[in-house]
Amino acid sequence: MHRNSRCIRTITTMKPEETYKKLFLHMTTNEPHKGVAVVVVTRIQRSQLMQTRTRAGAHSFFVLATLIGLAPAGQQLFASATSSGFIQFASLGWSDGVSVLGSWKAFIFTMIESAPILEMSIVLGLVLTCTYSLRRSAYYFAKLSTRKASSYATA
Amino acid sequence: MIDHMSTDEDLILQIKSGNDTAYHILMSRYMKHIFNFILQYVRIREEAEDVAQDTFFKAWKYINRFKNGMKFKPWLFTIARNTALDYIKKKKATSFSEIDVGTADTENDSSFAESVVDTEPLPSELFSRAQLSEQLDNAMSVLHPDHRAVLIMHYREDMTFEEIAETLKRPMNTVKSWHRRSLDKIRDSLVHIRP
Repeated sequence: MHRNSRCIRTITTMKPEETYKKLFLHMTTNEPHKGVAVVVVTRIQRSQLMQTRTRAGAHSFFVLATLIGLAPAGQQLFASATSSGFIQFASLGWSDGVSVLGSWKAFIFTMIESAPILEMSIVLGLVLTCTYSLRRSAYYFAKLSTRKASSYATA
Repeated sequence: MIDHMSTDEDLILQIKSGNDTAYHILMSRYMKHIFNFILQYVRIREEAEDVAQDTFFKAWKYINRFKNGMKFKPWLFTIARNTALDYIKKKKATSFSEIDVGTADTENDSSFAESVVDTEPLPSELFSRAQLSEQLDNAMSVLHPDHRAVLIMHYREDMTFEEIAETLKRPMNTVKSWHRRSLDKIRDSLVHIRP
């Protein structure tokens, strides 16, 4: 009785904010089912797997596409380099290095002038894309195989 | 190194760098809070669990949109509220008119919030009632979901009005007036119940 009256006195002296705070401590709180977190984790893992598969597939496609594109681009580069005389100038640098060194400025200007810049850029771009995609697809396939191995282990 | 003592921000940095354990910790930290918050919108337990699942999945999916300097709790509660409202809309369990009433009465809230006198304290006898939690649950059930959410966030989650306003995407005065109005309603219904 004495304890109750002391408690009541304490509450009476409280500010409204505090009494409401105390009131809401009486509100029923519910515990979610433990399985909820498990389902979320499963969904995340499934989504990650899907994402990895999609990325691996996309990068493999890029590797294939760039490899297919490299053949005509390479042919075009070779044809342009031959017709502009770029290959002949380049071979001159290899076969007659001494005379090239003698007039190296003129040689470089001629090389730049005759270089098939567009074709070279295309081939370089394709090679870089192919290398990058190859690296990424290898990474994603490795990730997939690790996941598969770990799922077998847990099974 | 992360553990259950790590701050939300530290955990988010870890999640962004691909650490799944960090998300498990964050999820276990907020699961109960989010579930109880969602229950203010979706009153059926099983449905609230589904919405909680969606909330945590979305939070993981969009974690890269969480910028440094933001507070995680209001951000997560915003996702929870939006997910719950989407769920309600899809299910059409709650009529749109109910939501409209709740949002339409905010027009003059800024002036309302300033003019209303402080809420009266609760009578002390109230706390000695055996069925207080049941009566409180009943009193809460007649409130608008957003109004219930304001009370839960303020009194149970210790969130400031600023954080609540950020969560609900409403002006702070609106939130304050919802808070005051809800308290008045709760007080009235509790005081008029015979012990």
